[in-house]
Amino acid sequence: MDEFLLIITAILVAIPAALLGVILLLNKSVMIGDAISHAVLPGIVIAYLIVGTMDNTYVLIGASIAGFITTLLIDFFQAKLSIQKDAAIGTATTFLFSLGVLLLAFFFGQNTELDQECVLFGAIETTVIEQVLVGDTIIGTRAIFQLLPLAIIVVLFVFFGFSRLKSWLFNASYTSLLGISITKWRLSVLLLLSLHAVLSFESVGAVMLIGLLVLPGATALLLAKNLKEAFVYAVIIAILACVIGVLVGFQINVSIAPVIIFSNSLLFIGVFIFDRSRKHKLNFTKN
Amino acid sequence: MSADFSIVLLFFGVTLISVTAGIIGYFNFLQKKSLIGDAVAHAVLPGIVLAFLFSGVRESWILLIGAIIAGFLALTAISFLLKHTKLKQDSVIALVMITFFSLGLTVLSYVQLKPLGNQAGLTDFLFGKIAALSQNDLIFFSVLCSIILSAVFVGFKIIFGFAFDSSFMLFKGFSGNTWSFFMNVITIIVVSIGIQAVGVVLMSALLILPVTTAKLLTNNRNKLIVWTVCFALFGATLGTFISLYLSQLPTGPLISMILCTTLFITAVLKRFTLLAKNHG
Repeated sequence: MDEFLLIITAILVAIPAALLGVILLLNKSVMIGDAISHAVLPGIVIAYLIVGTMDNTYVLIGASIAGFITTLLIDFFQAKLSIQKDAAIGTATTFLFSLGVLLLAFFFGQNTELDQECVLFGAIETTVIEQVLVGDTIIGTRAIFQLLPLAIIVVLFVFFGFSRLKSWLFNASYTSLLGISITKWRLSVLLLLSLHAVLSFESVGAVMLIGLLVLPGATALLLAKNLKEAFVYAVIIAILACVIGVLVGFQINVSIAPVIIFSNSLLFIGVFIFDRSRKHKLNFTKN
Repeated sequence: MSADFSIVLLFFGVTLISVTAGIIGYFNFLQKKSLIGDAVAHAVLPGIVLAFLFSGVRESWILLIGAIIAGFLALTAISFLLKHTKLKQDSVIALVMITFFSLGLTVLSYVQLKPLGNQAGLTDFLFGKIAALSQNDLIFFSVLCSIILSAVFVGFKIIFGFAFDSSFMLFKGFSGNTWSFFMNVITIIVVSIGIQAVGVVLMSALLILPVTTAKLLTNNRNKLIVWTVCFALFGATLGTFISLYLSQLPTGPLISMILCTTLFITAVLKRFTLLAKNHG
């Protein structure tokens, strides 16, 4: 039963990440995703300091603001201080993340529910403790009910915004010529990303979220022939990796979040090799 | 040996490491590849943990060998994927980085379950703890950094040439592969050393921030490198000092925070002087 609940939790983290990841990959802003997932840490710590509990809407709001500030900070560095893009992203990330770690070390020491290891590994294993019961049957955990709304929102966002997203990702200047506001779309993607980074912080931590963002999307882009396929494949691969990761992690008794990411990587490597051998065969028959 | 000597050694070692990192960061910055240092820092983790798992001892040179192998594999994987897929550079860097890092964390959480003793120090690699460095480590690292610094000093013109305008250097008949190999090797070594002091997660701060701050002040090549060294020295000294007194704070984030604050102050001062100039 625990495995099943964990798989559901992991899938609810992974599906929105995979969908947003495809957008980031095509938009060449993967590293901004990395920056946001690092940057929610100070937001979470500060909100936690003010409010005093972890499961609170204030923590969610505070951390999303922090995630959002990152993008503004990166833009500020590039536009006002004319720092080149890679250095601007690196500066913003290290600044906010080190602020978060320092606050954590300063106010909480080593042993609290917000400890330094949680930042790295996440603590998806502990989410099964808080179960939601109806009568005597378990219908889910607190984490599942926290993650579910955003997962649905992201899926609906991609589903209904598909044609707009497609034209934006394919050719941004043409899209703005059509009178569609790119800024609005970009900001809503970044907002969803910050919200997702906060909600998944408990499960996968701040450092590894980038894996869930980039790996399923990259694997899907190797296989897909069009954008719709890319989204579908990314979701399928993400789900597959979650199932493998949770089961294997349970078997060898290690932290589950890194195993999920690593199974994503193995899927990428597998698809890459398969893809190349298929292409070689095609070339061979052609010649 | 007295306590004074070990503190002097600590300061000397950490400043030397961060100055070397600052100079490597300078070349990466010129090539617009600042994030490569971050990738290498994450990617060497499995090397370190596996080296520990197989050797069973926490000897810094064994861990360093593991780190160098892992870093090298990661950079090879990055250039291989760039050549053979249509994925963009930042995606490939992120992808390889997180693959290695997640492998490292998996093995780390496996190692922590085993009754190996002495493994407590391994988590220090993630956030950095200079107090965990022994005197032998510091001497070893200082010697390595000095070798790297002198190598960079000797080949400065050529490395700078490649960082600044690689096609011109190729035209002049220098081999691009040799020099990018050389740069990769020293980046990996410096990062592998640096993470033992400041940790995996914030190693990129040591590489990126000094040169970014220096770039706000000047565009001149020689002045840029002098300012880079100055900022690296400042951050390392102050960071080590504070982390010796407030020992619950991890060193890496501390140094990174000091460097960021310096960056912001420099930026503000620059804007004020510019405004004053424009009005005057």
